[in-house]
Amino acid sequence: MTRAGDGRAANRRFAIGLARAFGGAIIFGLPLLMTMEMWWLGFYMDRGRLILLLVVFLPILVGLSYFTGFEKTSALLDDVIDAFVAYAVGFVAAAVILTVFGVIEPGMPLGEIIGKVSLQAVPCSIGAALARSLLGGEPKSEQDEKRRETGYAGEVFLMGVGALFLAFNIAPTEEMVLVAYRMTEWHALALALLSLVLMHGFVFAVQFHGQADLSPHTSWWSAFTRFTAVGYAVALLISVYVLWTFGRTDGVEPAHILMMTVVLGFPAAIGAAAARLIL
Amino acid sequence: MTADREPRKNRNASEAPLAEWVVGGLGLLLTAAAIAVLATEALQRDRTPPAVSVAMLGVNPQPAGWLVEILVSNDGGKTAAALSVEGSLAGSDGIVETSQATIDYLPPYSRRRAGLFFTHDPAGLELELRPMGYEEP
Repeated sequence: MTRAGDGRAANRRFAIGLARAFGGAIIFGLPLLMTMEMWWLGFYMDRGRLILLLVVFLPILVGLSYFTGFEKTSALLDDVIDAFVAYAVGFVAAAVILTVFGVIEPGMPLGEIIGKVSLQAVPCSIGAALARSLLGGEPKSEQDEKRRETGYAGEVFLMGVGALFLAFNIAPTEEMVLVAYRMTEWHALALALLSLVLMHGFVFAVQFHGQADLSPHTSWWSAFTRFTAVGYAVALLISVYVLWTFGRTDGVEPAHILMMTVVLGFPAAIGAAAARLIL
Repeated sequence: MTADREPRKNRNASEAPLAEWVVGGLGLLLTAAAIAVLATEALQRDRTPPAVSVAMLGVNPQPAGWLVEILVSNDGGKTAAALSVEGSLAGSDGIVETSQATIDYLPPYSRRRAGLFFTHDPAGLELELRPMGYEEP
């Protein structure tokens, strides 16, 4: 085939990938696009924290592209381009859907519109980046063959992405705060234990999925320490970060911040543990 | 970093097709523009409290009375949440009727439309509109 023909074929493959990315952005972004607390956060959340969120997400998108991205990539530069493509898709998908919902209107101040769209672009961009692994048309065996060896650091990274995604979906809601207020310390303790048990159940399931350099011979303690405990710690750290980003920790006493962290840590832990099964 | 990757023809060059560069560039542009707008806003934003004013847009006769449509504006630098506004109709011997509306969120430099229902015709009476109170989000 000629060079030009190669280019055309590559562009065509990219167009298909782009369509999938929009599908992924909408599937992953829709729950938050239809959450009113997210619209409000778009204009009242701290600008510095929103900018930090957009910046922090770039390396995460680069990493996602490296491990699972919607285009087969082979150079770091390609992963960076992929990350920006995911952001582009996220921004456009969020802007279109928020406009159709009447959440953003022409008369609004620019800061309000940009705030609402860029906050929603973040979860949408995760969906865009994951679209290839979730919506890809390739046969499963071929995908597995192409899948990168992730290594331990990669496993922890993917757990972090899973935790971040679920935490991000729950943290803006009022219910999260309400649950934390209803709970006693004993409830929190029970929830932390339940999180760990469920996480370990997922890790156990992954063990037989033939991944995560775990084999059926790996000892219970080794798996627990290296994956469950580390995953839960990552889930809790990400929970605190997400709570702080959404201003949930402002003016709240440390003991109650810990309660909220454990509450948000529950979905985050499930997200972390399930990430390896899904991604 | 690249040692464990799949073999390929050219180790340094990107294999991304042109379209991908274009869309990626768009993403870079959108992200940079969003950050620029947000940063400008953060630096310039005045932290003045909400400055809320209520203006009447019009009066509509309704089966059960009258509807006064209002425009609530915030010219301050902070968001007012759970903002309540009150309208009162006063005649020669004092207030005849009051009505209230609550606006969930009124962002800085923004306007929201609302309505107040009255059983008396505002035409012959004096209508006073004022914000009552809010909560910081």
